[in-house]
Amino acid sequence: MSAGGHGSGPGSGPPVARGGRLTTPARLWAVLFTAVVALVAVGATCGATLAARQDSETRSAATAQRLLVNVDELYHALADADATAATALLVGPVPPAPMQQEYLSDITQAEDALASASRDLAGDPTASARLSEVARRMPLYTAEIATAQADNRLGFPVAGAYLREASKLMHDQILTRVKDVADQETAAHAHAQANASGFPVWILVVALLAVLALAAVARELSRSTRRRVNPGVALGVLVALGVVVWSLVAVSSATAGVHRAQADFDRVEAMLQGRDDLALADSYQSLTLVDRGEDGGADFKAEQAALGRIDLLKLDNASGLALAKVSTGMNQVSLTVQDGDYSKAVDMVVGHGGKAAPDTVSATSAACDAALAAAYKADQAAYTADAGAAGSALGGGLWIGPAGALLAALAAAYGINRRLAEYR
Amino acid sequence: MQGRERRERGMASETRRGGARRGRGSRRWALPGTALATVCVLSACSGGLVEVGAHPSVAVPQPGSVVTGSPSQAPAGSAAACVPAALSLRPTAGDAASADVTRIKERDKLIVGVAQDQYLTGYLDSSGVESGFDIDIARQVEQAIFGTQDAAHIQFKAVTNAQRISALQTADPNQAVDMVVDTFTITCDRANQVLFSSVYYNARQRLLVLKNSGYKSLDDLGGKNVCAQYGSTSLERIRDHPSHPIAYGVTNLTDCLVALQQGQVDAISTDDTILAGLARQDPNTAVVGPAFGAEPYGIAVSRDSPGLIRFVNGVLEQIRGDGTWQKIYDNWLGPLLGAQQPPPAQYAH
Repeated sequence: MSAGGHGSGPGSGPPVARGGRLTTPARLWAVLFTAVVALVAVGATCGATLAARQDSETRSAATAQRLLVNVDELYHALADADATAATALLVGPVPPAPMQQEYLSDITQAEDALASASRDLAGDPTASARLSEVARRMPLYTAEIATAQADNRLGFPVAGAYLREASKLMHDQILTRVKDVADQETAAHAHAQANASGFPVWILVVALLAVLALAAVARELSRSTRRRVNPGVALGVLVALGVVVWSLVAVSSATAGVHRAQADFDRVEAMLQGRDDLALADSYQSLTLVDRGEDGGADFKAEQAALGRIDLLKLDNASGLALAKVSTGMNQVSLTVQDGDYSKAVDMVVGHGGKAAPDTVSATSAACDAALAAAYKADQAAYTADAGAAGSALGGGLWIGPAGALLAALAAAYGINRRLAEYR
Repeated sequence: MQGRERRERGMASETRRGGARRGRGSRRWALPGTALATVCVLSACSGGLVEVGAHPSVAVPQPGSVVTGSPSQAPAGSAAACVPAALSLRPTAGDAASADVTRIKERDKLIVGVAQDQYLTGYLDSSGVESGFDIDIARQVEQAIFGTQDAAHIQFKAVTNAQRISALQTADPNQAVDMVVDTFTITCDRANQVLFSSVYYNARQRLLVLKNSGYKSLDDLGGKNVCAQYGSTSLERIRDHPSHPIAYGVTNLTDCLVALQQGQVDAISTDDTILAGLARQDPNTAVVGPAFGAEPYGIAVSRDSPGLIRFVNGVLEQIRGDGTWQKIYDNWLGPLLGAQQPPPAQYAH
């Protein structure tokens, strides 16, 4: 770079030297501009990245996770209602009051959860359409169950036909749609978690470009001013470096927190799924006893499939032990069914004459559901804490990045302006 | 439907043709337009057979779903020589001491395969006790063997249609039964696999309709949905009837009653005994029309138990003569099917 162009300061005409080359002040202005842009870009990128991750984590914890849990509660309430209705039919003409109460409570919970999920997902046309379908079919389901109960009171086998039809409606048309919404929310939650924990590539790219730009600035300053170091630019670089390092540390810390939260949530999902599959297994077991083998074993297969879907490795000890009892009980029932002794099998499920006993499959299943619910709540609390910690680690990103960038830019501009002043 | 055993043969026949059947199901919940379209499509493509079943999706018409032939007839080549109602063994004086009966006495329990979901013939009553026409017939055999009727000397095992023969043939003591009393129609084909008693009831295929429908016979049901059980000859008779009703198949016969109550079918056609049970469950329905097709019910035992079947025939002879049969019939079926006499016994030997 030429050192010529003396006297061509600001306001004295185009800062162009002879031969089309920029004058030194013009080059200093260009250097100043480059340094400021590079430093602001670094700060802005760090700030934006941290803010976006914090937003994703917040949405993940506060919205997607809550929606997913709500939708799953809807699923569980519906599945449990169906299992209770089917089991009640096995007891006899008049099911015990607690069983009837549980069915009504499940239906009420399902209606509440459906209303809540519909409100939360009002802006999502796909999910809303699915939930609307659920809302339309629920009255049909409860009407079928009411007819089954009325026929059962009279001792009519047609009660079983209405129960089968209602259960089919529940399994094939209602629960599948709720599951679709749950899958959609699971994907949204996973997407938000991924956004909050991915590699901070843009920070590194912009920081690298800024390093190149600032190296060029330093080189140009050195050649123009014959000074090795510009204190202002050096300070700006140090501040920007601090912002980058802080951002990377925050991202790393937050990512670890997000991974912990994800592990918590995986367990929450396993517990929720376990409760759902347990209710489905209960329902199919009762349908097997209602059908008395006329379904060709389809309900038994569905019962075994539901039990098989429960991931034992993700359950806590209490839930795992409770599930083992349920599984043992259901296997004993199936052996009794194979022998054609349906009356004994019914007693094994609901107790003789519907009298509750702790060793019936219904009782062990209820205990398992309670264990899963307790574990799910504990894991959800852990998830909330870890997700909150992950968000907190990113908390300063909104102001440290921009503030650091501003400070760095001001320092660099000040330093270069001192050199520019020599030409005024 | 003409006897539950038909379902087995019908199903086997379907399997041979490679057809995938649909069970009872959720099609009832399809939109009315969809349901109507389905009925129309299936009736056009599968010779008038409409399927509903256990599977959630709408059944795709397939050649294998069309029921053809008449499973209640004897196999080709043996039809001329076979009279289903006259295939059984004549009772003799020493049957009570036969090895087959002695084995049951030593076990101190008669094991009987029955239906538990057919109202009035074989079902669990509101207190969970097996009840019905077939159950009471089985208890007469218990009475003859043990001199008493109580739960200690008889064990009822629920058998499905497909299990009725295998339960008599299996070597598994947990699943084997001594005899099957389950609206089991005697056919020549089945008589090659099990021993049948003399006929203890002559069922006939009839119609169940809503009382205010005005339908009196299949002649009035051209183009209308008429429900029957899969694999039954009832379904074929419906489809083959000159008035061209639309056959509407289900897995469980109680599903037919649901379909009738929900207006998805206009009538149900099966054995009069089963129709009587359905009619009892809905007082707005009635069994109407002439009978078409006889379905002789028999008690079945293993082919290895000729002594037992002779003994059973002796029991049937006795209850025909002493008024017990009449009492049982009048208790369960008489009020709905009208007065009937016990069918006379015929034997092969």
